[in-house]
Amino acid sequence: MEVMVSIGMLAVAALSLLTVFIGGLKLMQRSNEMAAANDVAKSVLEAVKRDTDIHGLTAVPPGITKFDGRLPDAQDMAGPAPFPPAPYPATTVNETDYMIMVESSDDGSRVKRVKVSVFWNDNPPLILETLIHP
Amino acid sequence: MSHRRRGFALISTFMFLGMLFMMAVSMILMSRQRIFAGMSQHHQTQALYLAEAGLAKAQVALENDLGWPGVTDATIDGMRGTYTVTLGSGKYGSVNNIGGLTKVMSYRGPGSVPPNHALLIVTANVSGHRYTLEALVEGNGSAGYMSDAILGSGKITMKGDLHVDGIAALDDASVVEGSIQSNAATGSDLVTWDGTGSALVTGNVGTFGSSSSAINMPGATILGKTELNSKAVIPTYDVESEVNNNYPSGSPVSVVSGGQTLLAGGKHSYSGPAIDGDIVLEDGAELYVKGDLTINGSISGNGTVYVDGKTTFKGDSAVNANPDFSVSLKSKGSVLLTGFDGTEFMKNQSSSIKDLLDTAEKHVEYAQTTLKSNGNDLNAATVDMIGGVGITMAGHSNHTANGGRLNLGIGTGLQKELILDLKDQIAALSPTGTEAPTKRFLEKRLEKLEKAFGSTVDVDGSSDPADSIMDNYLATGETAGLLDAVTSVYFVDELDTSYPWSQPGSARLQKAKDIWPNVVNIIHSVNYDKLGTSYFQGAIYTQGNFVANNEVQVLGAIIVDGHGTTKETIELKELGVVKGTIELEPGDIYLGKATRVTYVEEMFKEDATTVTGPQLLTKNLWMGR
Repeated sequence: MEVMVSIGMLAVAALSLLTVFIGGLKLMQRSNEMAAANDVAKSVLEAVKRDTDIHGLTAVPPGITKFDGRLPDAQDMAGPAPFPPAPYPATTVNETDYMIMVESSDDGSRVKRVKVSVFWNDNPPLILETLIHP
Repeated sequence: MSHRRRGFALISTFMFLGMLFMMAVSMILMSRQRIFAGMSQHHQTQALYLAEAGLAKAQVALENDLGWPGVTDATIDGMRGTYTVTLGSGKYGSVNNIGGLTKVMSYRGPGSVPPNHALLIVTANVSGHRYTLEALVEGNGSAGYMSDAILGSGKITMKGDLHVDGIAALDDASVVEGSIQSNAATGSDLVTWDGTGSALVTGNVGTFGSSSSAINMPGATILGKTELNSKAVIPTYDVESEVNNNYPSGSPVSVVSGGQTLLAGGKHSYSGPAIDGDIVLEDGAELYVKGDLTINGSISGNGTVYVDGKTTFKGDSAVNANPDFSVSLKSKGSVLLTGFDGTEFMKNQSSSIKDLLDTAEKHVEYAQTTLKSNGNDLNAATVDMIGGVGITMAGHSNHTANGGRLNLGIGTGLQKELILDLKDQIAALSPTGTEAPTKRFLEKRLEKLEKAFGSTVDVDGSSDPADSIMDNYLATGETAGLLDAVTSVYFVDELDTSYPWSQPGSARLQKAKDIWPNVVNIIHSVNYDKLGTSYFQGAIYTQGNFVANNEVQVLGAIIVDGHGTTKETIELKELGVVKGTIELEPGDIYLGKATRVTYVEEMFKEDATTVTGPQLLTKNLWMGR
C-alpha cells in the first residue's frame, strides 16, 4: 500500500514537474525570440536613421505610409535610398522567421515618425517607435 | 516487509519530491528572470528611442521658440514612458546658446557650448528604465545677430545700379531698413559707390572709420543716416568644422562633366577639381566641399553650400536656401561671382573639342589681326580674309550640299566645318545632360556664330538675297549670313564689277559699307562667354573677400568677416576680356555690377539679447550616457 501511494505521488509530481519544465523552456524560448525581435526592430530603425543622416528626411517617403513585410509590400524606391531599409521585409534568426512592418508619417514639417513592428510565429508583435529630426 | 523497512518508501518519496520541488522552483525562477531580462531589454530600447524622440521634440520646440523652457515628464502620443528636458547647469541641465556669439558653460565645463549651439540633455523613462542622451545641436537658422543688408569687416566698393532695402520676412513684405556697414577703420573711401546708374539705400550707411571721406557715395539716395565711428558685431561661423563634421556622412558627388549634376535632398560631399557644368540642388540639399569650389556653368536649386576653401561661381547662380535656413552659402575662403567662361569650359572637355576650339580661335585671331592691320577697313584684303575664315568656320553654299563638310585640301578628305563640328561635339557631351542650361547656351552660341560666319546663297543678279540679309539685320539684328552678304556685295559692286549682277555705286553697296563697322565688331567680339546673374535667397557668408562681377540679387544679407591679412589680386574678366584687376584684403566687398540686396529680418534675431525667430537645428554630436 505504501509503495502504491509513493508511486502515485511520484507520478503526479513528475507530471507537474514536466509541465513546469516545458512551460519554463517555452518562456525562455519566447524570451530569446523577444530579444531577437527587439534587435531586428532596432536594426531597421537604425538603418532608417542612418539614411536620414545621409539624405535628410527625403529618405523617408512623404505622408502616411505602411509597408507590411508579411504580404510583403515592395520597398519604395522613389527616394534616395530604398525604404524601408534592410532587413525589411523579413529576416531569420535561430531558425525563427521575423516579419517586419514599417509605418511612417510626418510629425510636423521637420520630423518623421517611424514605427517598426516585428511579427514572429503567433506572438503579439514587438513594437519600437521614434521620431527622427535631422 | 519488516517494521524497520516500513515507511522507507514514503520517506524516500518525500525526499525525492522535495528535490523535484526545488528543481521546479529553480526552473520557474530562471524562466521568470529570462522573461524579465527580455522585457527589460525591450523597455531599455524603448527608452532609447523615446529619448531620441524627445530630442526631436526639443529641437522642434527650440526651432519654434528659442525661449523654450524645457519639459518635465512629457509624453508623446503612441509611445510608452515619459521624457524630460530641463535647462540648467547640473548634470542633467541643458544649455541653450542658440544665437549666442560666445562660448558658454555647461556641466561639461567652461566654454563647452559653442556659439549658436545648444547642449540638449534628454532623459527618458519607460517602466522604470531610464535612458539619458545628450546632443550638441547647431542653429542653422541664423547667422547670428545682425541688422545690415551688407556687412563687412573691410572696405565696401560698389558700382552700377545699387538697391539696398529690407523686409520683415519672406512671407511678410513689411518694410524694414536695409543698411550698409563697413567695420574698416582707417583711411578714406571705406564705403564707395561710383555714381553710375542709381543708388538707393533705405537704411543707414556706416563705417568704423572717422575720416570725413570714409563714406563716398555721391548722388546716392540714403534714406537713413551716414555714420562714422560706428561698428557692428559680425556673426562668425566655424565653416571649417562644419565641413569637417558633415563631409564624412555626405554622399560623394559624381560630377556629370559638361552636363547637369543633380544633388538630391540630404548631405553631399565634394573635393576635387573645378566643375564644368551645372549643379542643381534639390530638396534642401547640403553640399559640403573640402578645398576650393569652382563651378564654371551654373548652380541652382534649393539648398546650402558649405566650402572650407574659396568659392568661385562662373555663370548663373540661383540658390534658395532651405525655407528654414538663413544661409545659402558659407565659404571659409573668398567668394567670387563672375560670368561663365565658355572657352575654359570647352577646353576642359575632350581633347578633340579642345583641338577644334584651338583651331577656331586661331582663325578668329587671324581675322582680328587682319582687320587691325587694315585699320578695320572694308577692302580687298579684309574681304578675302572673311571669305577664307568664313568658309573654314561655317557652312557656305559651295559645300552645304556635303552636309556641312568641306574639303580643305589637306589630304583628309571632307572635313566638317569647325564651328558645326564643335557644336555637335558639345551637344554629345553627356547623355544625361541634354537639358543642362550651360551646354544649351554653348550650343546656341556656336549655332549663332556658325550662322554669322556662314552664308545662305551667293549674290546673284535676280533675287539679290544679300541685300535682304542686310535689310533683315538692320530691322531685327539677325546676323545670319551677314559677314558673307556684306563682303560679297562689296566684292561684286566695288572690287570686281565685271559680273552681270554687279551694281557699282548702288544703294546696297552703301548699305554694306554702313553695316561694315558692325561686321568688324562681330569679329572682334567672338567669344563663348556669358555675363552671369546671381540670385541667392539666404545670406552669403565668407571669411575671405566677396567679389561680384555680375548682377547680384540677395534676399538675406551679404556677410563678410575677413580673417587674416593676405591680400588677393583678382582679375575682372567680362566676356573674355580682362577689364582690370582689383586688390582686396580679407573682409573687403566689391560689387561691380547692378546689385540688389534685401535684408530679411526674420533670418536674424531681433536684437543682441533677445533671441527669437525661426531656427533650424541640426545635430552635430550625439551620445548616450
